[in-house]
Amino acid sequence: MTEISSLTIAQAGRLIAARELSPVEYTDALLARITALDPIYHAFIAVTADIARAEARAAEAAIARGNRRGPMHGIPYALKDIFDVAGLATTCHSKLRAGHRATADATVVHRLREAGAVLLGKLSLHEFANGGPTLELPWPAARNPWNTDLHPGGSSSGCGTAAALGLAPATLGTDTGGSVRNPATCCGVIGMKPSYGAVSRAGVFPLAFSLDHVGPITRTVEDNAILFQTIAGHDPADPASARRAPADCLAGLRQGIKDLKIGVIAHFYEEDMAADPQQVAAIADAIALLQRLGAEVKPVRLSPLATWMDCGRIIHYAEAYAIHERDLQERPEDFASITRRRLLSGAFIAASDYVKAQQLRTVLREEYAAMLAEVDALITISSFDLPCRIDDESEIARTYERQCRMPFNVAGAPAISVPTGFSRDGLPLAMQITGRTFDEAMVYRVAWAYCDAAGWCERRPPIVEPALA
Amino acid sequence: MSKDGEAEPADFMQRLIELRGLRRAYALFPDTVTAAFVRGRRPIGAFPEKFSATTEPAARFSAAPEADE
Repeated sequence: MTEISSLTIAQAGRLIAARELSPVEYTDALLARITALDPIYHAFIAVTADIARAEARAAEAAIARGNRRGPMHGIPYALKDIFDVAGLATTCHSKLRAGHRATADATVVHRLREAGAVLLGKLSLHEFANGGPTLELPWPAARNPWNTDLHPGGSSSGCGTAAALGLAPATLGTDTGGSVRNPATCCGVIGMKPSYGAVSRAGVFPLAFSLDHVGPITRTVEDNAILFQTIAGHDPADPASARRAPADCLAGLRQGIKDLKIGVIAHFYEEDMAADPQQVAAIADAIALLQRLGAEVKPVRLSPLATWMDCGRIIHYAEAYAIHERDLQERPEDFASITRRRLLSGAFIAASDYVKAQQLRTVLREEYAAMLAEVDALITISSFDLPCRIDDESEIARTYERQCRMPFNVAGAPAISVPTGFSRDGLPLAMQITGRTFDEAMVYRVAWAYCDAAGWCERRPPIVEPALA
Repeated sequence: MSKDGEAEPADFMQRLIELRGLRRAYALFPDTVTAAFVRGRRPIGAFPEKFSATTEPAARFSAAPEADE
């Protein structure tokens, strides 16, 4: 059998359903792996071993009685520590949350409990999903699984690290300007930001209300679709939740992409901002592969990247400042410096700029929808650069807005990061595939076809051996 | 920076810091607050041709709290 930590959700689910894999043994194996590896990689803020073992025992008993609830039953998962779990702290990786205890589960946690999933713990992030890796916080920053000296991307940093290392087959992050897709890109895994309103944010600490999304980070596209389907759907507790049934993303997953029309937004990374040549070359190879798979690929143009980024930046900063204003006034010293710097910008945004950004967003959303009337999906770059050193503050600051993810938060459209290969130094490269709003099924379909043919998802990071000794 | 690219006067920044209740933050972290001021005042660089300030904003008010979209 495949090594237990390498099992995908789909594989483990089939084995559990056939009673060839015990959820208790699966959970214990992953807890042991976390114990061995996490002191080096720091993906976890809290490991909920007692909860995990109790949920695994309950899942095993239910399945033995013939009451298997679905593909997540008995599957371990972990959460960015921004999701409420009743009785646990939601630290947001911040000193400011000391003493917090959640009184109820976030809606997505409730849905995972109902699905019989097993909570392994809470994962590291950038402070309040908005800072960056820093040594100033009460918990260490997660490390890049491909090179522990490097930044794993963020803000859902622990999700990317845990998924890539096989510490948890399923992880949930949040994405306001790319925080699911960035760690997926940097860690060589799959990160999906669904459509705005597709997944409830109730019980999730907000960063910017009109840009926040919840999204899964996993090792394979199929696993990502399984997790998305488990958590998606209307929730009256989230005012932005869409009143529609979630799309079936699994039925057509393996349909292939023959004759699909795929647009490439190349001007984002060829004209609007210069990208690392290795990222660009990997996308060119990916385009060639998509064509060999039968897709019709053509260049398309949207508004310049800077327009999308400015629009998102103003909305993000203004809304985030509104959330943290009192703490920034009364106890600014309790934020890490990198978080303080970013959040304070929102104090000085003119109200007219915020209103214009929201107006501009409507125009950009319509522009995006018009483009998707002509093609089935779009592809573009994710990060312009390769992961930098985790202790290089100036490089982290320089590369923060050198990304192509915010446009799809502005549009509210589904966007997934998939690996496109590895750099000369063995670091993951990636691109994004995006689609029509609420058409996650098409995005997963294109992503599955590409990843299945390309094979990059098979590669695993080199584990630091002393941790396993 | 102001919209026309000219530096905004320092006393404007000071007044804004006071108005926003950030005196303590400025006293502790003057460089950070100054950098945040510059960053926060950076406007949208370019609008699409069809953009107009009379465009209906994305965030619409609805009098019915549970109204269907």
